[in-house]
Amino acid sequence: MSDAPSSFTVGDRLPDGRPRHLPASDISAYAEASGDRNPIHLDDSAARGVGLPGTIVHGMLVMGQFEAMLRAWRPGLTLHTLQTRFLRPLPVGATIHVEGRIAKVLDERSAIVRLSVRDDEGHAICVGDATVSD
Amino acid sequence: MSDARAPQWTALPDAVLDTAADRVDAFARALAGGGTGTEANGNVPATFAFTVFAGAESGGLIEGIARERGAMLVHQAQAFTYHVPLERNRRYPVALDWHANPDRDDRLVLRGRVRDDDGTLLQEFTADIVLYVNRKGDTA
Repeated sequence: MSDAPSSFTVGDRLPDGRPRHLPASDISAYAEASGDRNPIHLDDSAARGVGLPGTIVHGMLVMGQFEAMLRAWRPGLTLHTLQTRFLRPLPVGATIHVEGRIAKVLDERSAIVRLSVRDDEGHAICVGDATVSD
Repeated sequence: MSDARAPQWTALPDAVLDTAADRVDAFARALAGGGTGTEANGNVPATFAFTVFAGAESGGLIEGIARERGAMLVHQAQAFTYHVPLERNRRYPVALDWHANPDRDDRLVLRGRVRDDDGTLLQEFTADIVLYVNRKGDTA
């Protein structure tokens, strides 16, 4: 068996991805593809009617950016768990930045990656942990 | 001894997760903003299984709970556990259930368990949902 360079080091950061702008057209496309047509994502007046400042991005669309970052980092990795928590709503039209770092090494082939999505102002929108292995 | 605080799961109608390639590809493209998504490597995206709620009878029942309270459903947290990768062009049975949060009546938890035809558990997911009610007036 090989001790291939598949080890993880606590604190290592994943390569930054490109900032992602999330215009209304992307939200509509995600609503169509996912079937989640909750009006708080699509209808500004409906969103304001429930006390939001306007339409907000689907949480599952935000969460999905974590997988993209992980697979861009190590295309062949295996994802075992993915847990996320939303800290504040993300307005449609915002730009997000996804970050990740190794939080814990479980063994030579697996680790926990701590992930976060921030907006342009640096506010944490969503945080999560992924358990991955090579 | 039973735990009085253990959640009391209420079953929802079973659903089917359809991983038809065109659906999976459209979902992956939408995640990627129209670019190449995870379809490039043949994976079913990690969050795809949650789409089983949308349009399903179960999703409608949960929306009905929200409507009764004059609330909107807002995701607060999600957790996925992957046991076996899903394949494209399959129709997987999914058992769905939910429970109320014993400490917060404006919170509920949805759960889905995706199985193979032989009953093998492939993937499970939970979502903490807020029944969000505007208490500030009609507009923000």
